[in-house]
Amino acid sequence: MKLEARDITVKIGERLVVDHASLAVAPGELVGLIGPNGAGKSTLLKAILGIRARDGGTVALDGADMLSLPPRSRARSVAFLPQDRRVEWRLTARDVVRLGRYPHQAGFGRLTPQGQAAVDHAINAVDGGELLDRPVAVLSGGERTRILLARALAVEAPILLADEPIAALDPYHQLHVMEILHALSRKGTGVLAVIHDLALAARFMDRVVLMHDGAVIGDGPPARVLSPENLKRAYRIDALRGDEGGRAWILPWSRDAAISDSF
Amino acid sequence: MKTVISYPVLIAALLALVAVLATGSMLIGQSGVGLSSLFGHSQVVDAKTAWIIVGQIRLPRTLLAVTIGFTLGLSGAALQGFLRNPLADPGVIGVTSTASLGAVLALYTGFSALFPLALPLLAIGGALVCVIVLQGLAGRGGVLTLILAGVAISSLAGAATALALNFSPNPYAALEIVFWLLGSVADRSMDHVWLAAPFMIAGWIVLFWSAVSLDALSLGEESAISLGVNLNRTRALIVTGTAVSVGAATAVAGGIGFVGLVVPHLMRPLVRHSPSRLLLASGLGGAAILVASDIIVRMISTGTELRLGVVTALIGAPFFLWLVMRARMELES
Repeated sequence: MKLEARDITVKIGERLVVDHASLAVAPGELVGLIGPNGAGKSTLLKAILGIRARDGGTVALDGADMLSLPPRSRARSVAFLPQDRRVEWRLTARDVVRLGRYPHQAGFGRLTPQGQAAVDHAINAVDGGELLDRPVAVLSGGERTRILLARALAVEAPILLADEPIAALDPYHQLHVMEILHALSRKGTGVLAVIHDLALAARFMDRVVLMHDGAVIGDGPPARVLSPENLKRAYRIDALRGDEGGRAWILPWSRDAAISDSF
Repeated sequence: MKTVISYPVLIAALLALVAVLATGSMLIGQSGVGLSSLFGHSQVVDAKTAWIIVGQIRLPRTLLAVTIGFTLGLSGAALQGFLRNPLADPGVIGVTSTASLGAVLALYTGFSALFPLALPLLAIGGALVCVIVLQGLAGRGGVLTLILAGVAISSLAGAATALALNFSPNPYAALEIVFWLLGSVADRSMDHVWLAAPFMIAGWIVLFWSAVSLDALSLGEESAISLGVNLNRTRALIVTGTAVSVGAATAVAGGIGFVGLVVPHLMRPLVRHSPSRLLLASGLGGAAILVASDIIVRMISTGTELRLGVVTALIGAPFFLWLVMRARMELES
């Protein structure tokens, strides 16, 4: 299933937060949505999902208008991992992951064998077996992210949108989550993830979409989009670059303002 | 992690508890009619009188305590789940106050003296007005808008009630209003049961309808929407279900506080904190507590009747404080 967002526009008051942004995610593709704070990445994601209203643009799933789909049918096609990792009420990790099956259930449904298999599979994918009986509220940041990611995986949607899936994680867990997303995409899921870590974006993403002031200013392979000019324009930084076994790496190194700062 | 009893066992245990307490409620009272009287083994009353006392006085009282307790527990659980706020109870959306205002108007104008069912009917009318105003004010807003609108409606209805007291024609009228506001299920007839029960049951059905969405909402509104929850529909179900059932409960019993606030907290650990499983457990828990409170009212009453709403608040408030302290200790440990 292919997701195509065209000319998405979102205004807050008179301010254009997302300015005619377009992007697409194809099956089996791992796409990074990057850009500085306030560039409109999260807003674009929410506008695509219909969580927040948009002032223009269309979102299509395999060519069909996504907003016209019934909510549960839309939920079965596109899973979402929001930035907010709060879980109320001391729910156990097991109960949280099972919520991923909500779009597949009608009313007071018990899990079908297929649903149970999806839940088990999602838990295995994030290595979450030991966490199942613990309340999510007491888990560490890394554990909580893995369980909430498992919740999103349990939907078994052909497309996954993740808002900063590796924010506030240590390097080990950042790599772990990136590997999970990468493996998921290799199995055919289209993944779009908002990510701030340019090094991990360059290393793992098939493609990155760069946003600046609400508009998409670059879309393509990381090596091309993360050019010195683009980094200067969008992030106001310079980066060190190198090559490790045929893969380009990138390390943010200095910011424009640093030269004139009296720090 | 301590093991908790399974959900079906919990529900069966709560049902048994409610049944035992309801039976007790039928057999305890100031007339001294007990089990032996019903079968003609009592010196005090003959069997026929005993059956009349049980059937016409204690049965409606018990049925009302069970259904109203269920309503308060259930709607408290549903509101806490929807608002994701452990301090929510049916009063928070203003429905208790507007229903009370309707009843107070019936007492103030004297309609209730002319036509006994005027009081509950006006109270239910007050609750329905609350739903319409809430949907108008907060129909598409977030949780905060709903709470703020509820607080505003509640304050306004409270002010109008105070105004009625202020202008009450004589001290007796004022006293009648105040006593009614304290809440009671004493001296009610089967007419009250037949009037309130359909509204309460309709409200229960609407609230249970929203159950599964409440689970998804525990991940936050964004996750819930992405899982296919229709937030506007869920809000309308919760507000309508609460208003209709709590409005009917308030209409026949006055204001009974703390059951809707405390019972969900009591039951939550027993259902592994799941908002959907909490609904039925909390309803049954509310029924058990209200019937038990009503038995206490009858057992310690002398002279002036102790009001049910007073007892639930006297037991509920310290208990709630204890829950707060325990939660704080858990957080610190």
